[in-house]
Amino acid sequence: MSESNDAADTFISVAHVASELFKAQSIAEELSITSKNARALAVRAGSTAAGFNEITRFIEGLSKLTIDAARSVNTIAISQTKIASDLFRSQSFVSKLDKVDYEPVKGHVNELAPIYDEVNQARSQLERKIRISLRELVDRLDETKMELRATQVVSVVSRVEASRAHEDFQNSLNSVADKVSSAGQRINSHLERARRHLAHLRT
Amino acid sequence: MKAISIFQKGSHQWLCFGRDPDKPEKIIDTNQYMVTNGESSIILDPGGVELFSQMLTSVLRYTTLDNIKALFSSHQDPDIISSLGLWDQCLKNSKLYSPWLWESFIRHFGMSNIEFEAIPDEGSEIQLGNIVLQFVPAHYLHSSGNMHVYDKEAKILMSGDVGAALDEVSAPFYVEDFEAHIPKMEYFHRRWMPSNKAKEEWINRVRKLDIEIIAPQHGGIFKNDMVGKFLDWFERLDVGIATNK
Repeated sequence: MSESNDAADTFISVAHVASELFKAQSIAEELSITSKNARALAVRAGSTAAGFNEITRFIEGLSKLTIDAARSVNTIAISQTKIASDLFRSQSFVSKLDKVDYEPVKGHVNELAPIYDEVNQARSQLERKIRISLRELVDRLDETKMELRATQVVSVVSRVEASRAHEDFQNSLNSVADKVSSAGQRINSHLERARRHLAHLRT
Repeated sequence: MKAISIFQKGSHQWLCFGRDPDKPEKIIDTNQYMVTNGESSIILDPGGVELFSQMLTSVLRYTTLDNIKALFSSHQDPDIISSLGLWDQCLKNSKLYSPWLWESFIRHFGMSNIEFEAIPDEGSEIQLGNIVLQFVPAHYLHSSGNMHVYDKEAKILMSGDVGAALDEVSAPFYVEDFEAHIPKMEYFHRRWMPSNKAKEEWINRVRKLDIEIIAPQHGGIFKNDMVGKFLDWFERLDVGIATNK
C-alpha cells in the first residue's frame, strides 16, 4: 500500500460512506416510527403487553443511536471531503509544478523551491488530518455496528413479549418484532458497505 | 508555449504568451499577456488550468514570482482564469483584478492567498510601477461583466474576446492580411457577442483612445492600420445571431 491515500479516491470513498449512512438514517427514522406505533399498541394491549412498553423505549434508543451516528459520520465525511479536496488540489498543483521547465540562473534564488517546501508541508498536514479523520470514521462505524447487534436481541425479546400479550395484539406485536429485525439487518448491511468503502484506505 | 514582446521601452514591457504547440488538442488556444514596469508585473487573463505549467515556465523566464503583483481576469470564463487556484499557491502577495460581478463565481476556482480587487462597472485604474493601466468597461462583450485593459504609454488595448479569432496554433502572432482574417473571427463575434448596442458603446469609447495595438485573448494581434480596419469591420457587424426557434 502506498504511503498516502490518493485524495480523489479518498473523497469518493467518503462520499460513498456518507451516502450509505444517509440510507441507514432513513431506515432508523422508519424504526423510530415503528417504535412509536409499538408504544401505542402496547398501551392498547394493556397489562399483558407491559414488557413491550419497555422494549419500545429500547427500540427508540437504537433508532436514535443510528440517527446520531449517521449525523456524526456525515459531519466527519463533510470535513473529510473538504480536506481530501484540498489535498487533491495540492496534489494536482504539485503535478503541474513538476512539469514547469525551470532552471534557476546561477547565483539566483530557486523560485520554486520554497513553493515545493510549502506545498509539501501542507500536503503532509492534510494527509495526517485525513488519516486521523478516517480512523475516527472507521471507529464510529464499528461502534455503531456493535451497538446495533442489540436489534436482534430486541427482536427475539419482542417475540417473547408478543406471545404473552392478548391474542388480538399478538400479530401486530410480532410484526413490530419483524420490522425491528429487518431494520437492524438493513442498517447493518449499509454500515458494512460503508466500512468496505474505507477498507482500502490507509488510516 | 511561445512568447513575444509586443512593446518594450526601458523597463516597460508587454509580453504575449501563446501558440502553445503542446496544448491539449481540444482546448482553445489563448493569448496570455504580461505587462511589466520596473519590478512590477501583472498577468492579464492568465489562462486555464491546463496551461498553467507552460505559463509558469514562460513567466519565470522574464520575471520572479515576487514581482508578480497582480493578475487580471477580463471575465469569468475557464480559459481566462481557471488556473487561479494554482497561481494562488505560487503568489503570496498578489491581487486579482476582475469585474465585481464575478467575485463569488471566480472564487470557485480556489483563492485563499490572492486578494480579490473588484473593478466597478465604470472601470478603474491600477498603478504598475511607474505606469497606470486603465480597466475599460466592455460589458456584454461577451460577458455581462467584462473589462479590457488600456495602457496609455504603450498605446495597447488588451481586448479580451473582442477581436478574437479561432486560428491555428501555427498562425503568426500578428494579423497580416485582414481580409483573410475575417473568416476566422466572424462567426465568433456574431455568435459570442450578444448585443449590438453594447458593441456600439464599446466602439465609441475605444475610438477616443490612442491605440496602436489591439491585443485579443485568442488569435492574431491587430497592429497599426489593422486596428482601424478591425474597428470598422466590427462596427458594421451584426452580432447576437442565435435564436431560440
